[in-house]
Amino acid sequence: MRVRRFSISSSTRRAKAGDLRKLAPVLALTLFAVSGCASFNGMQHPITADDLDKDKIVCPTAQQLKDYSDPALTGVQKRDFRDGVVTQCVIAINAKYIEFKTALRTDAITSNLATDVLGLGLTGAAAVTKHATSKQFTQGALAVVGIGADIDKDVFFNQTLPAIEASMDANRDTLLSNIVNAEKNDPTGANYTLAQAALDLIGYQDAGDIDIAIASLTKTASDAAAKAATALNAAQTKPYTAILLPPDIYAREKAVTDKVWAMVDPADQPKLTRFATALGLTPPAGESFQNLQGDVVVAIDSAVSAPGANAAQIMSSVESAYQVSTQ
Amino acid sequence: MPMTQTVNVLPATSLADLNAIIVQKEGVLGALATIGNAGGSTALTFNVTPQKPAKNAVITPDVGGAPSVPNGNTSFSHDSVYIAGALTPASASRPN
Repeated sequence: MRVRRFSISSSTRRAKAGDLRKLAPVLALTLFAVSGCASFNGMQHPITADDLDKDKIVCPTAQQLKDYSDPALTGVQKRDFRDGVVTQCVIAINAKYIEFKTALRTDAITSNLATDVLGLGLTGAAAVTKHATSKQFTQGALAVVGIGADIDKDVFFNQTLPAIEASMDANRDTLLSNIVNAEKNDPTGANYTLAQAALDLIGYQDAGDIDIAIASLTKTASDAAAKAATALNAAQTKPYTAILLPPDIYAREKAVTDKVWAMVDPADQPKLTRFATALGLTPPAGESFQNLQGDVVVAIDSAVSAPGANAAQIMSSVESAYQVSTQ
Repeated sequence: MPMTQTVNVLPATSLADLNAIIVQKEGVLGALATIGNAGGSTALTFNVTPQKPAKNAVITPDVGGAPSVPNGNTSFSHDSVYIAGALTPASASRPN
């Protein structure tokens, strides 16, 4: 009988410098591959004078802020002035954001993805924001994070990049909604001033940032993983006790495990590894694909069929982790 | 060699539920390989593989001190298991 060497990863583990594997990712969600000579620009360029009138450096400009504070400007006129400037700024920021997304994809396409490989295993938002290369990816011979997956264009373009873009879009939508609502709630421009709007616009512009996008994605995945990992049996190498499951719970378990068993090596290796990691498993190097499938299925079954377990809640966590890991 | 996993079943489990658990586990893990007992519980060991058995295994208690296997089934394991709290000699078999 084969002895499995899985261990449950701990959210308390902390990364040590110089060893990406020791980041012990709760979910190695995002993988980036770049060449030695090409790099990604991780955030949109800020709007500049060229994007507006020649005498404007930021949006809103100092002159606009000054005009807004003119005592003669009151009521609806003050509101309209504020809203007009904000709209102008939003349009300019949006234009830059579109440029940024286009450049991001173009840069990636022109990169030699097979040369230098950079893998980011992210434990959470803090790990992301402290990792300098997540904003401006540079050349390097860093080994891919310990999931054993080869990085290829399909992984990046079909899964990672769209997810990052979607995360950035969502963050921007949220911030823009906040700005619009603040405008609506202040019809006279007395409370939501142009200066306050300027700060919100900076946040809106900064939301076009890979760091923030990854942080959001990782947090979402980490939350799902934490719920599942808490419920899962930590003792994967020993027998576990099971009770008869209600038919509906069993159907849900079987649906997920059937999907796991239906995964194909090597195409689904990254997804399977992400799912295993999301469930709190730490696949050892060299683990065969089928054994990894088995370990994932056993982990799910041991958790959901344990006496006294909240099987429905566990299945919801497992389903959520599966969805996040395989999107 | 396939990976195996032992699943313990509470000793108070009825024969019907024990066999129902086997159906569920064979649907998720794979084919039942052996039966037995350990630590006061029934111990069922499954081969963990993508290939699921076409027909589910069944446990039947011995009758009159002798293994009792349904007609058309092939026995593949014999040991004592807990049925409704009692340690009972039984066979595990699978329809042909």
